[in-house]
Amino acid sequence: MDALTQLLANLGAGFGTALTPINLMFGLIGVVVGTAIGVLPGIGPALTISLLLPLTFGLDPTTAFILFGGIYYGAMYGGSTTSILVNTPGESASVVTTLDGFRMAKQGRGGAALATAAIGSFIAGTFATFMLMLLAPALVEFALKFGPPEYFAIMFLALTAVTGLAGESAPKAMFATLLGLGIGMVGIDLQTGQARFTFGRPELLSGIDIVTAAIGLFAIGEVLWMAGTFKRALEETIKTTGSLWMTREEWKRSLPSWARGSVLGFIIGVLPGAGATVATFLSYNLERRMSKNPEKFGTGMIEGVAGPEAANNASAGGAMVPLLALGIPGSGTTAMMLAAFQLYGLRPGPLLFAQRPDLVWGLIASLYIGNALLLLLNLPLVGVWVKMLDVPKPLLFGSILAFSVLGVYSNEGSLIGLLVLLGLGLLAFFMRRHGFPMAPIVLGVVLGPLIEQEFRRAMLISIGNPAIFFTRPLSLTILIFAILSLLIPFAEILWKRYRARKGQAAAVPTFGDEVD
Amino acid sequence: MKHDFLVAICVVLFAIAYLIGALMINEPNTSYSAVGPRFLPIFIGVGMFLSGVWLGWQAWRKKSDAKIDALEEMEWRTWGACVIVLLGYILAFETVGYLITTSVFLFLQARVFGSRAWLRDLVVSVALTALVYFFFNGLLKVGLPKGILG
Amino acid sequence: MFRRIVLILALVTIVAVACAPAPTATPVPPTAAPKPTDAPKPTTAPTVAAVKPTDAPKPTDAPKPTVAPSGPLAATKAGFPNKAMTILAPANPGGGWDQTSRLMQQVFVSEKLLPVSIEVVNKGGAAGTIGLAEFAAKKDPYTMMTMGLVMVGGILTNKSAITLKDTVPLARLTGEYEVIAVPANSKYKTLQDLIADFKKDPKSITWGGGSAGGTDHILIGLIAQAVGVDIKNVNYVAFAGGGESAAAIIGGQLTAGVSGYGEWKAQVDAGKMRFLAVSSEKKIGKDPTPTLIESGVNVSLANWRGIVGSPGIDADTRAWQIEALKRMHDSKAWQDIVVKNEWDDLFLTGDAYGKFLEEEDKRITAVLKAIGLIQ
Repeated sequence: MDALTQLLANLGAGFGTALTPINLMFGLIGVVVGTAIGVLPGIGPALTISLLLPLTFGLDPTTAFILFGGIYYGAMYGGSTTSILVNTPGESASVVTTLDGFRMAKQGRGGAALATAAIGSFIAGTFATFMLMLLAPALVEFALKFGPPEYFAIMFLALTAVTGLAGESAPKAMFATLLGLGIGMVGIDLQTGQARFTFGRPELLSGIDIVTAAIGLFAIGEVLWMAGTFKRALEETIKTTGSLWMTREEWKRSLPSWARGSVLGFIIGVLPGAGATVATFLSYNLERRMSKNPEKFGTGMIEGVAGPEAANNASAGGAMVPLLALGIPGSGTTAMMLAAFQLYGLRPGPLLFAQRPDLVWGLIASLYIGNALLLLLNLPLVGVWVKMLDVPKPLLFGSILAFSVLGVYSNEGSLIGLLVLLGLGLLAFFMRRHGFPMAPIVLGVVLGPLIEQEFRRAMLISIGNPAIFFTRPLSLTILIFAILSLLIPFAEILWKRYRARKGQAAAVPTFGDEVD
Repeated sequence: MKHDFLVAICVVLFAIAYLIGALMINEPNTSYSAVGPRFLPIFIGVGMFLSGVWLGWQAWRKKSDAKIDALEEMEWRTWGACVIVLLGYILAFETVGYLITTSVFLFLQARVFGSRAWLRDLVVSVALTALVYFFFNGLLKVGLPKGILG
Repeated sequence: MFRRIVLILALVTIVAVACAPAPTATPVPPTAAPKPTDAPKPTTAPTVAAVKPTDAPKPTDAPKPTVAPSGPLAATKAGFPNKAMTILAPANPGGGWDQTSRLMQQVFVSEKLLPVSIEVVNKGGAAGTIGLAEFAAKKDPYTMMTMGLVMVGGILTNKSAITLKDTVPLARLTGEYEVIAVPANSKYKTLQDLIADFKKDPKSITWGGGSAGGTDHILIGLIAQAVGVDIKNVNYVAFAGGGESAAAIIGGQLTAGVSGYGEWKAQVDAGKMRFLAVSSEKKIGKDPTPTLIESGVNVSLANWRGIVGSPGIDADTRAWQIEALKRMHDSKAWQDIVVKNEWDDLFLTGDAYGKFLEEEDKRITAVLKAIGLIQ
């Protein structure tokens, strides 16, 4: 009871701080800027915060962090828009959203897809902030139990999500995944400092950025595809006639997905070293496994948008837990926020709650407010975004390319980065033409460096003994999940074939030809 | 010849090139490390090779072939023009500067995609470029290349 | 419909362009750098009225003599500088070099030390060697570059074609020290305990720190050499940053870790970690943590940061830049920053600094060779 009153008093004081006109104004600026940069490809929240940092030196730290928090959450809202409407994700965390979101838009349900993303983001963001407020210290204890073997197991589990992204040909999906992992190997090896696949170019030493990969493979690839099939593309223009709002059935289907996505995304977010992209792929996989019609994923299932979009917002909230409670960043954006804390002479950690309650609780309160503002901002915007499809195609395609180049250039600042972008776009075009799925490549690029480094760290800790992955209960449990996730689809197929052979074929849909 | 069989050959060739690259990674005579920097790249290269063989085998046995609806009727002229304009944009980006290249690029790309409303395209190209430049250089201080205007 | 969009876009653009030179919507603190266009040219009165309106001298005031130490530094005989200067931070925003560069800029501007404006440009990647390559190629006397120990190591491990010999040493500014830390519940209470086990079975001690060949790794290499452990048996686990390795150490995944003092101080204050030793020559401030030398390991290492000039600058320009840096260093604003960040003041200029760079290069080359990262 005492703890509860204490909490309420803190929260009250926090809202007092967050609701002062200046803080409220910066919170609003944050969510607007965040949404805007979320929509633009390549400009992520981490980059934005780093660019705005010098401008905020004159501000009170609390105000500055309210601004940064707004940008972080806002970017997660904005990221889904272009994925859904024009099949061009601006960040790697919204790649999964294209799979079903863009299909929904093609069927005239773009408004519903945007709405489910916005509402899901709101629910997830609020849930994550609530958990952050209540359980931060306990959650940190939990997160610290994860060492390299456990992270390896999580990455492996995420890699199994590829079975849900495979498309029509298993060997092609396998190649796409491996190619992604292979692209992730470019650059300096963290453990030994050796250059890999850099062809002697110093610009490649820092590797191929995930943002560049996601934009090259999707945005550039998509526009080149449109260029090659332009006359047909003009004929099958996307319908914008459908209702902007979600139907009762869509609500019913979204609700459990929002809930699952929120919880899953939050847990992954709390773990420093996993990240939002991993959360979205895991969520997509989970939605597919929970669905009665897994084979329909990729054709415009609203669950495939609701789950991952909730997950990516919840993971942003989750990443605030280790940042505030331990001073350990769990994502690029929180790393940037940590640097900002240090420039302000603050040291996040357990003592921050005691030393600067005004800042911590003000930030928490402003995250609640920011979430509400974002929902209010984004729901009316759904109608505006859908209008984006009315922009004449010649200008739209050119703009997508120009924004992609701009985003990558702001990120990397080099000509080589732009050439890599074009190269990946061409690669995506030719691979798509020959029936290779794109999403596994991005999954590979994201997971490649993580899975490798965690594996090698674990092997260093165990002095070269691979038993470390199976003797630690947490790691073993996750690995069993991963193996089940790989085997269940095959088991299902075998079971269905078996039943079909028994003459009950009519009772089950066969999708044997899909998996060969 | 099955189409996918050719694709499989390309995959196998790529895998071999990747493996050669992996073998060229310097395995340092370093402080203790259980698994070196070559390990995963070699694993990936071998995996790619196997996926290529698998694909080739499938194609050979005619078990599957890519559904390439666009294969015969790609509009290579539009496509080629789009790529060339994009490449030109990228190459000129730093030296000529953001403002000029982007305006020209947007205008040309609209031509490529069949627009003939040149006045509208011109206005939008210049306006959008200026707006973005203001946002990035003025507010965010990204430092987009000024090029010949600087 | 579309015509309306075009119209709106055009209008917004006109408004935007019209507003561009005016103060932007985002509030700019008074210490922020003035835009290059605001910079007073040296030929005009060297007041810096545009920077801080409150301090602007009244129109009737005669300009102060430019030689006064409080005023901006006068130009050289050859007329350097006559346009805006640049500090190149060869790192992405947020890191130590970026922070140092921006704080220098802040002091230059707030103390009105220069007759021209100065801006910070980032060019990150590969331990600063990408920024270094650009810096050396540009040969722009108006640009100075921040650098430090990490770059010395990075040049070696990345086999960079451009080295610090292609630049002109100006000044060493600050140093941060490294710490050896263990989780709070570790059985190791002193460095001696840890080193004893390290000598007995080197592989059983897992050390966590930053990327291979970086400062953290170099320190472990130096320690291993000093206590007579074969470096090839050191079990070093590299992490992407001090935050990631902190999580692994607090979580008990590793035996011990190395990072910058400031980076992990909060964890110690919060009772999550214990410092065993610092890499400085003397204890840091009031912190009772012993130095490595006090603990019987004869090693000291400063993660120093400094600044170099562009290749080919003449002696006058170099002297001018060193003088400007000296005035910046001597200012109270800079001294406050050094104290606040718990840095060590390692100010050293000109040829003495050049000599230090050569010695440091030799020492780091030797360690990296022993670790096996370079041949």
